[in-house]
Amino acid sequence: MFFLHSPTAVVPVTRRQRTNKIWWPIAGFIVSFGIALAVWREGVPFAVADYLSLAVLAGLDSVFGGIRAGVERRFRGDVFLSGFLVNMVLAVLLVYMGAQIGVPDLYLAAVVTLGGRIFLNLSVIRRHSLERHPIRGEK
Amino acid sequence: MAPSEHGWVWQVTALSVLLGVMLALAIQTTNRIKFLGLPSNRFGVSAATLSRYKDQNEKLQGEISELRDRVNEFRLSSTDGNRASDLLRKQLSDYEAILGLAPVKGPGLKITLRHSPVPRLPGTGPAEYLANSDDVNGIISELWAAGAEAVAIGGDGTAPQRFVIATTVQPAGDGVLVNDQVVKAPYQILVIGNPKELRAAVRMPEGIVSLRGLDTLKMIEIKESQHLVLPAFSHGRSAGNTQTKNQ
Repeated sequence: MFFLHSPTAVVPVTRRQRTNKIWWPIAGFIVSFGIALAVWREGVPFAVADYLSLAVLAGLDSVFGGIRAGVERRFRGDVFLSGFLVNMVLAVLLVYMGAQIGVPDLYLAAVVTLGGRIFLNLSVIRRHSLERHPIRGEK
Repeated sequence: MAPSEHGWVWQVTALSVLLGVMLALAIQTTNRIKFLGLPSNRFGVSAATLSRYKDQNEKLQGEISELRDRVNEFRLSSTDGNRASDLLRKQLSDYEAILGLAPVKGPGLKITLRHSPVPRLPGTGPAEYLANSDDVNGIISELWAAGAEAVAIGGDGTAPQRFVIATTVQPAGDGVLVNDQVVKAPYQILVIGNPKELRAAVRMPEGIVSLRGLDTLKMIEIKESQHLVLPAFSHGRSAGNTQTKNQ
């Protein structure tokens, strides 16, 4: 815990540090995205493309969830990693099952669920960010 | 400092890097699918759509196979010394030889049929000592039956007349009429084929030579030749009213 001399100064400094750290994952994402976009121009085989899209969505959900947990100071590495992997596998499995049982729209279940969670996590992160950096005139 | 204070940053950053790569690959793949004109709604491709594509694929495969065969044919005809034309030319040449429309050469027999030099015996008629159209027709029939490939009939002062499907040997005065040409004895029958078999056919028992006593009357002379040359049928003859069935 970060306790400085003044109790009133403790919270703003600690929260600013945590809030600033969310730029590391974003920067890593942007850099790797740019490099991969320039290097692997062929993409992946078409047979894998269906699953990759859902896996990306599941990964986005996990990453935003991790950021949210980080800024809320309740991050657990094992939960984050297992959530990342399990969500990805589950999303891919839904696509595969949908194709196998003749319900190709089954992937929509994963899209709706993951999309909703992404928006929820983003809103929480945004709220935390606004609390640390309030717009001028707002308390 | 608790691990959760800084640890989450690096873990989330590491997976964000991985996620960035995955997203880039997904975008590149999608762009490639669009570029190739494939259905963009990949998850929603119905079985009917897939079936239609499969049918189209099979049809196009068939067209490819057909076009490939035609290309091979054109390639063979263009690179293999115009093979198709050569084959047609050879076939036409064979038909002309068989029908008597082209001069031919080869081994065979040279048969000379003349009037008998033997003095007429008492009780016999003079016709029996003369070579006639029946003798010529009989010999030629035996030759065809023995595998003759080309026949021509010449005579005294007359060039050999090629025997074709419409050729007849008819009595005409003291000679015979062959292809509208009068041919007089001694008649000369030129025949291309296996000399041994042709000779055996002419000499067979109960054949025309035996029955007519041509050997006894010394009316026939048979010689083998390896270099016979027979002319082409020189008279015009059109199909007239005759047409092939498919015309």
